[in-house]
Amino acid sequence: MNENPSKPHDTSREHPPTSSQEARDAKRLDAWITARQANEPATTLDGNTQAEVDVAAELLALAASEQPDRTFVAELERTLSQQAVAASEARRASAGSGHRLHHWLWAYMRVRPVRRLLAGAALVAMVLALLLAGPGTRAALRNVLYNLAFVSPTSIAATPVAVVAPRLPGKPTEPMTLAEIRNHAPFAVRTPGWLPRDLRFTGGHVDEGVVSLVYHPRAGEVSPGSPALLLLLSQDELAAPLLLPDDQQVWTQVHGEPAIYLHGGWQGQRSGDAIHSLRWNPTQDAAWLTWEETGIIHFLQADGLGLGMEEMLRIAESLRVQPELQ
Amino acid sequence: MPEKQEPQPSDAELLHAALSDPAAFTALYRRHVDRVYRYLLFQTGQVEDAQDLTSQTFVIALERLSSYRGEGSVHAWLLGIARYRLLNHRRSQRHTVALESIDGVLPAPLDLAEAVATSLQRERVVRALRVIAPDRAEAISLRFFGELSTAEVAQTLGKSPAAVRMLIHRGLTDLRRQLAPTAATLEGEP
Repeated sequence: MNENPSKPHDTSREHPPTSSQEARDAKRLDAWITARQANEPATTLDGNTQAEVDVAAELLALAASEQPDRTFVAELERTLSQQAVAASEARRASAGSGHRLHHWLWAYMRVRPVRRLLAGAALVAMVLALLLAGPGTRAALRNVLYNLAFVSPTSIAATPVAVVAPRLPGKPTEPMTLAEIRNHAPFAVRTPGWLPRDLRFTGGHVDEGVVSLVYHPRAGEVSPGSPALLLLLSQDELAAPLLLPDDQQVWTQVHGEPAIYLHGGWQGQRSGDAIHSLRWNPTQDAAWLTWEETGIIHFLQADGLGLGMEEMLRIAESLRVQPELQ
Repeated sequence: MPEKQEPQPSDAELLHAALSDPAAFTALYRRHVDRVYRYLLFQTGQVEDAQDLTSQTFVIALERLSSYRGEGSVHAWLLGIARYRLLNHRRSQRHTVALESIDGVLPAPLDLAEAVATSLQRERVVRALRVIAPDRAEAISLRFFGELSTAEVAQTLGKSPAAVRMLIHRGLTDLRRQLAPTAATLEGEP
């Protein structure tokens, strides 16, 4: 990364051709560094490289003198030990009869970046559901959002997850145009430069700094439950606990950043107007991708579009601030 | 008669064991935390940032234990994670720390004069590393502060070992030029 505009980005193709003498000097200097780092006797070098050796010796001495604060090291070790124990238990649990509680506790104990990535992913499904659902089911989904996305992990029961709660007041807002979203968003909104299945933007929202964009196929009506793509962008941390199963995660990368992909979705077991339990169905036609890039937490979910990881990554890596695809 | 020491498990063995034994990950952490931190410290120039990024590096490593394929050393794998976190950190910061402001963000004075001197020397080097070509600075940081071998630096940067040796050789030449004026100035002061 170039922090100084006046200096070149990469000198590997710009520096003068390597002379055989310079290559030999570089090799001997490298051997000297290796010996010093291994606390072995280092060969004395001649005058050609003495100046570089002096700098190298200074760097080695400086490196040896810099130690992390021992309190910090001890605290981090304690935290990691706890997480390692939780992770180990979660792996054992996932191999057994599905004690999901361990997964949830494991997720809760993660430190900020990954926790908020996954925690935020929980909100994706709920936002999408709220955007797509009809009035009859919206109240029930709000119940899920209220009870699951913001519940204390200590009160979460083991599988199945029971959800019965009073309804939340509130009316759905009208979808905004991209121009309106850009005007209201607290950051530069990036949109896909590539979309599969002839998708088009059909609406979105800006709510407390969280931007949601929804895309539907051009053909076919836009209705609750119809195939759709949701992109959720957030600058802030989300305090919701994990709603995605750890054992379904596939680690990948978006522009070199760690990203998590999942396939499948929660299936609700309904009774009247309430959803009583949720179970993860890996065969469900839904794809999830979440990552953090340029300070923005990204969530991408495709529902009913038949998309896999390759297409999700292609969409993710096509995001840019540009005139939208219409 | 000296006690016979038990052979220490390799990094790869520890990492594999960590999938089922939490203590193995702790042992791995103890082996590598200093070097990971040191690399990040000389890349960021800030103790707090280095600590935060070190934490992130090991948390991600813990979560991605099963993704290590044995291609390259565990230490290079850890520094690869640290490097990604660093790049992400820089993007999010958008380089808000200008070169001119580095003098103003020196760590709080410590009790020992030696610690202060070390801190000042670190700042000089961090500043010099930011002025020289990025690929040379990166190679030097990985080699000296991350303590990667030349082959590991080459693998991390996607270059040949010979190219890495040249980057380091020329980078040290550049550093010498950057560091020399400061030394001359200090010596010339009344």
